[in-house]
Amino acid sequence: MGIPLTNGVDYHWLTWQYNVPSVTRYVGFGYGSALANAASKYYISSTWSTLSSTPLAFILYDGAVAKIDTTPGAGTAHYVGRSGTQFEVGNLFRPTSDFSLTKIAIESGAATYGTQPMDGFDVQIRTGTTIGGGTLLGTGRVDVLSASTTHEILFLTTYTQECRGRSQVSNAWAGESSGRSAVLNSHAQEARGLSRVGYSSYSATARGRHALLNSFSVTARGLSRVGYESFAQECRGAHVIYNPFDATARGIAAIQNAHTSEARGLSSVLNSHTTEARGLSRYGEWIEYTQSITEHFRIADDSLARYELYEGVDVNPDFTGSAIATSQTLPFSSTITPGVTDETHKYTVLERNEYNIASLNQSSTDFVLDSSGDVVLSVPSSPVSVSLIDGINGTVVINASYYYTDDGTSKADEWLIYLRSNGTDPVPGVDTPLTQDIRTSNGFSYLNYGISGVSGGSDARLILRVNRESDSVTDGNTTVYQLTTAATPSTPTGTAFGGRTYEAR
Amino acid sequence: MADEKTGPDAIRSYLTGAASDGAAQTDPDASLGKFRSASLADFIGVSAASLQTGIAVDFVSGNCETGSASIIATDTTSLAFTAPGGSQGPAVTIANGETKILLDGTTSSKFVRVTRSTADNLTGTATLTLTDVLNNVIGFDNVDSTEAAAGDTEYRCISVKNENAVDAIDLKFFLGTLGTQRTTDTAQLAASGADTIETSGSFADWPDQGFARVVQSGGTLREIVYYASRTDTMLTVPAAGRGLLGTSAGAGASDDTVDAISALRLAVEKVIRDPFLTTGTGLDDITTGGRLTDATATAAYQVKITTAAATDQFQWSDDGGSTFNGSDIDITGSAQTLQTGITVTFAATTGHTADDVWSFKAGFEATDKTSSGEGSEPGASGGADGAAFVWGSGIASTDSLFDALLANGYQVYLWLRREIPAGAINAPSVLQLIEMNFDA
Repeated sequence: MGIPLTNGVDYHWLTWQYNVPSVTRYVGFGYGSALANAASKYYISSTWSTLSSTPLAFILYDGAVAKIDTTPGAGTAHYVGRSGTQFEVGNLFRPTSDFSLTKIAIESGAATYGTQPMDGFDVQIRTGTTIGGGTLLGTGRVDVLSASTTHEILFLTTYTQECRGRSQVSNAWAGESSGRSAVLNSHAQEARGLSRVGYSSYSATARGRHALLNSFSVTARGLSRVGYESFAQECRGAHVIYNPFDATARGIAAIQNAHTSEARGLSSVLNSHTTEARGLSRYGEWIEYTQSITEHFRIADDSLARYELYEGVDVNPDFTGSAIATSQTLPFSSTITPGVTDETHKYTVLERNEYNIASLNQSSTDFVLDSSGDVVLSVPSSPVSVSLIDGINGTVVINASYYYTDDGTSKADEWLIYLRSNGTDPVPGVDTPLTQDIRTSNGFSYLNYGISGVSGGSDARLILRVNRESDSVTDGNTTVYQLTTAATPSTPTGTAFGGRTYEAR
Repeated sequence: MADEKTGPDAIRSYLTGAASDGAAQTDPDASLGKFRSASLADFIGVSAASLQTGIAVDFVSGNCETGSASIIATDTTSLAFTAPGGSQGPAVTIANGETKILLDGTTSSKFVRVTRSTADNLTGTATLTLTDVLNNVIGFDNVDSTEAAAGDTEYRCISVKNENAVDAIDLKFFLGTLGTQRTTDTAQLAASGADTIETSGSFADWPDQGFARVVQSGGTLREIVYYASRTDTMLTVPAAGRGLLGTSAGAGASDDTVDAISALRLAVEKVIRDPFLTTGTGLDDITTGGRLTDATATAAYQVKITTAAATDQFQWSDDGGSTFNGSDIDITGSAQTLQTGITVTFAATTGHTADDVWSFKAGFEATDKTSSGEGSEPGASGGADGAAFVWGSGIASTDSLFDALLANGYQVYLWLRREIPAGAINAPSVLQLIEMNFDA
């Protein structure tokens, strides 16, 4: 028999000590007040000694209760419980054999468990082992995978009772699993709480949060992750399904492949599905789009509304530069600075409105100024596109154009028409020309003038000039345009008298 | 993805001001609430050269920058789009009579919507010239000299509708920025009055005049100002340009950041508005929800506490309080349906005050300002139109006043409030930029 220990007095740091039993049958070790949970059940047989690196074995016989609160140190120490023994483990345990009817209780709140040096240890729970359910047990968790990089808690065969808390089960179990669980193989009954059911199918209800790496065939409720394989029945709650399922999915679900039946609740379906999706759902690949909405307006500034005078000297005005003069009204004046030699000064006035939009006119009015600032007038340019046409009833028609803006201040202001119909060329300076005012519009003047009284069959000849009246300077054009009129003058035709056509008499 | 009303084309913006949902109303200046118009709010202008007869460009997304884009016939039945500065997107097969969207190859938010109305084989390449739009609904009208001298505040309303067959999520609205964010590390604004903001960075890519959003280092909005001119390193802010867009003048700090923004604030009007306590001062814990199932059910609702007890009771009205449903309803603490999908939820089942009344409006008709004019503030006084609007000027998606799912077929109304301070000068034009994010 062992020696009864006083709770909170005799067991400080006992996990760093050990008892080497010779014929000892009961070994207990613990830490402080934790033994209050079962003070009357803890025994020790003889002298405590300091733990060494020597591999140890703590053997608990029938009815023994062992509580391990801290890490027992590195090495290969074994904690072995035989039939009827119980381990209550605050940090880690490592049962290795003969666990028939052994109960393993894991204290709730053993959150530091994962930081303990579990590498190199496996926990094996063999056939018939009962997890949880005892009065000392509660709802702790086995959470080895989160701490161990290479090892697992292995449930080597199925077990038939409840498993609560956070668990990972590598093989199937046949009974209820509550709390957070991961099942690496199928289970046949309900799994509650947060569970991970993986690698193989299970055939019964999975409740709570689940991850199912393979298909399951019955209802999965709560937050579940069902992956890699299809499942054939209802999946409720939040789900992640990596493969198609063909039954109802309710609640919050993410489905990465197609499913063929109803999906309800919050769902994310990464591929198409063929049936109804209700609630908050995502279909296919969700892409974030951005729409930029841009438009403009203007703010009026009355000071911008004005006429602007732009100047170019021997070049066209630069409208990207500054105006040399501005005015709110027309007309307005500006002083011109002459150059040392004759220069062509080109001027354009733009109108700008309160929204800073300027008129589009680009043409300039040109002045040739000498060094004194006097305007130097040049010979006007000649008319272009001159034609002489045989008209009706002995009329010849003269058409011509004159681009007066090209001449700037030297522009002409009247047409001089020299016409003979006797077969000889007109002689400017000898003949008296017919004159017509040059009418200006849009930068050029167009002449359309008919001269009557030309006999049929006449040889009509024309010289057309333009003249600046102020100084009687003409363009000096000498080009003769010739026309032989028809022997029988054409007669007018047309519609008159209510639209009827009558022959001319 | 290539089908119209999917992907980036899922959410469309319309003018408002129509007499009924989807009715004709083409004047952007009359887009002042009431019902959604059939006219889309054009985001960007487009002219096309060499576009094959029978191919029409219906819409160009606002994300496309101005410049030259192209549509190429990749084969006799397919088209592909390249946005300005982008790359050729995936070819889309389009049959005669179909409307499809063509995505840019670099940015899927950049797209054009085209309609084919010819049986001829598709061929050739068309060049699209994309330009900013002047005086559309987002740009408002011009500010004349009288308005500029006195200051001018105007409003517009657009309907943002999910035209997709499925829901769109995470819909958000916020202001875009018009230049690179800078730190006011060289000089900051004084507590009030005309002053300058200076940076060791550069304002070179900022508008010549405009609005600057000054934010404290911790992210709190400090002030929005109007600057009348700038250099590459300095913004000149007149006295009238201080404390704008719902902010107050305040001294700046050297670690403030500053962004160029539009002269805009935004507000969102949902189909089912938020309730507000119109009578009483008791426990105010009601929220509205649900989805309106009847588009014709626009009405002014009231919810009235009729019994204050261990379990409070209420009645509701859909005619602005003229008549109520007639029987007391126990408050459950959960969503309780009134009618046509409209729910109210009290956070507490007891503790309310008898005869306290909440009001809210629900329906596909936005606040109607079509008669009162562009300068009339919607939501200013609560009342029958609903709770006072919350106007925001955030520049990040996290600042959005609306961040929610928009069910297919549903719409929200985005109100725009343009505020021009007295004496503001902007020439030649002022850019307005709103960003809209969503997942589809």
